[in-house]
Amino acid sequence: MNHQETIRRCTVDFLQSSINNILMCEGINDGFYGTIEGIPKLFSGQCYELPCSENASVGLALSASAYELTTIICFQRVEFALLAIEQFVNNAAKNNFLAGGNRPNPCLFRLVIGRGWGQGPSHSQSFESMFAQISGLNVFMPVFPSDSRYIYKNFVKYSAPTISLEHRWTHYAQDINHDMDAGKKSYRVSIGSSLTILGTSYNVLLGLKVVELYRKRNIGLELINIFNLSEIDHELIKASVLKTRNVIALDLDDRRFSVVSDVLCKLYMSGVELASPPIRLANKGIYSPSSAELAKGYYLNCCDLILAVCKILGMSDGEKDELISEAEEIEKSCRSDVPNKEFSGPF
Amino acid sequence: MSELFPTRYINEYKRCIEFRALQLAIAKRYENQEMRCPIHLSIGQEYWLPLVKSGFRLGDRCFSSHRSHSMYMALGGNIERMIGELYGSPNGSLRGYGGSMHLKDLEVGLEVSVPIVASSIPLAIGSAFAAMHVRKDLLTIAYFGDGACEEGVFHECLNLASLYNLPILFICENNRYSCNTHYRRRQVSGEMRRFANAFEIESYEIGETDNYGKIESSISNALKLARNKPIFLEIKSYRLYEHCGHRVDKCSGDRTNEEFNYQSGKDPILGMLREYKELRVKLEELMVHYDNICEKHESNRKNK
Repeated sequence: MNHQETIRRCTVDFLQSSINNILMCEGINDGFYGTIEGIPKLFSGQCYELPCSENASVGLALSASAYELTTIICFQRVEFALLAIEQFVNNAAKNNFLAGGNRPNPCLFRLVIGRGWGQGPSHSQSFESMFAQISGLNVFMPVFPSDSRYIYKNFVKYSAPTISLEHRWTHYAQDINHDMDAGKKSYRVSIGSSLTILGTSYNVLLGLKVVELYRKRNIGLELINIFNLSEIDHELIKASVLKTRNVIALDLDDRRFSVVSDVLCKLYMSGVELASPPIRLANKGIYSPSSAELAKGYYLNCCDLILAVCKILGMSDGEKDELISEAEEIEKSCRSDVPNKEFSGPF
Repeated sequence: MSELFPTRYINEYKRCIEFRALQLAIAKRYENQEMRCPIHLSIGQEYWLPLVKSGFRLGDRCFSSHRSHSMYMALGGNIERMIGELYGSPNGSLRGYGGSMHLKDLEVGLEVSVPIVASSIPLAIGSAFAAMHVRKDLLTIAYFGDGACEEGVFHECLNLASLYNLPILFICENNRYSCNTHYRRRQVSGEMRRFANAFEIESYEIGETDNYGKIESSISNALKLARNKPIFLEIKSYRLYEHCGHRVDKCSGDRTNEEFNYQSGKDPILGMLREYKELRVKLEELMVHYDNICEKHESNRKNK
């Protein structure tokens, strides 16, 4: 079962578990990328269409969840949630703080991040650091099906709202062979001793492709999915970097005050000594252009990461060229603006 | 018998006097700089407050704006704990975490007060939505001012309430000013009910010069109807004290002395005091009573 199917399964389980669990969405009958396909028909009394009123809808969910209901709201792109940033900042976790813990409001906001297929400057941003800066909120960036299983299993137990920043291109991801269902903050996706790669969201899948290329050369890269931005496991990261003494950190957007900037800062403050300066990578430029050709130069890709790994590990030009050529071969399997051959847009 | 203040509402007038006395005592003590939080008094706006509680049952929920003393008093929140909160006391209604602008008393149904204009209205919508979904006979009140009607989220909320036929009473207290700016410089009309009409929500209006019987019947009718559908109640009033602070506000911003003098002459509480001697005595007594509570807090602080 891939990530998309898993989210759908989790949503069904959520709605089945209580009549007071509800799902809200603008265009609720449109399937939300297949993740809620058919659900409004199955649970017609628990599914609500929302008008284009994001701020009121978020406030509604925050508050209804403090009383009898537990809500999930889906926004087609994270940028729509910006219209509700007022409620997230002013009311999401604050009311329960003021009520001395007497008004817990567990609820889930699924905010989708876009990439490629002409998403352009308005549908390809992520803002994870901005959401993570809101005190009290639980902010996750799922990559694998088990990540969303974890979110669905746990958000109902939290006393504060949860935001899941769901990258559209992670919907096709499958679980890989490791213990991914353990109680987790951040976790290791692959184990290695040469270099640590830290990432979130779709960048973890990019990292995984690169890890495989190096594995063929018996070079072990340790890949960590930061995953839970509200409880980043700094100890796990520190232990990894103490072992590898090299680190590359991947952000989605090239923003100031980013998630990995914070992680790198904590590493530095913990006194870890590195063999070479850390490298931070992200999408290139302030906004994504819309055209597929121009966007190629904007989005972070495997080759960017390979160049950084080679630099830190001091690999020869020959090795580097070979790796780049292998990565290009993999990336040729589909066009650069889609996650796979089957994807036909528009979102 | 008074035309405006019939004797049969004497108990309501007494409550009004309590609210006035409390606020005057707070205003007097605020000068001492020991209540270290912004306060938004409702002096001049109290006349309708005692009428809310009769239609508000245990379990109903109210969501207020920054001018939160009003609903706290109207719903019968614990006054000693409210004063404690203004002094930042651990015995305050929010243990000192909220101050005047975040007042709540969960026991009486004041769930939320948010100082960001219109920010608490969607929370009220959530409360009403929950009641609708679980089919509970429960009223939600969203209390806000005319300034909130200029925020986008207010219109989003009216639409949601109407769309889902939510059991909610929107109480819009139109005191004409947003801080010190008159509605004339903020809106094209001073009638907030027009927004309710746009969303097909039934609306009512009361004003400070209405006969108290009319005020009572409008409020009680609105409270009753709002258990089954959204209702919008516009309350016309005039704030006699500063937007934020403890002084009489004669000419801040768009105000003029002439306007203030005219409006203060129409102060409904003054009218009640003129009509009923017993209220004048009560006002004096209560001011001393509340002042003594304040004194205790200030003495405790000095002794620390």
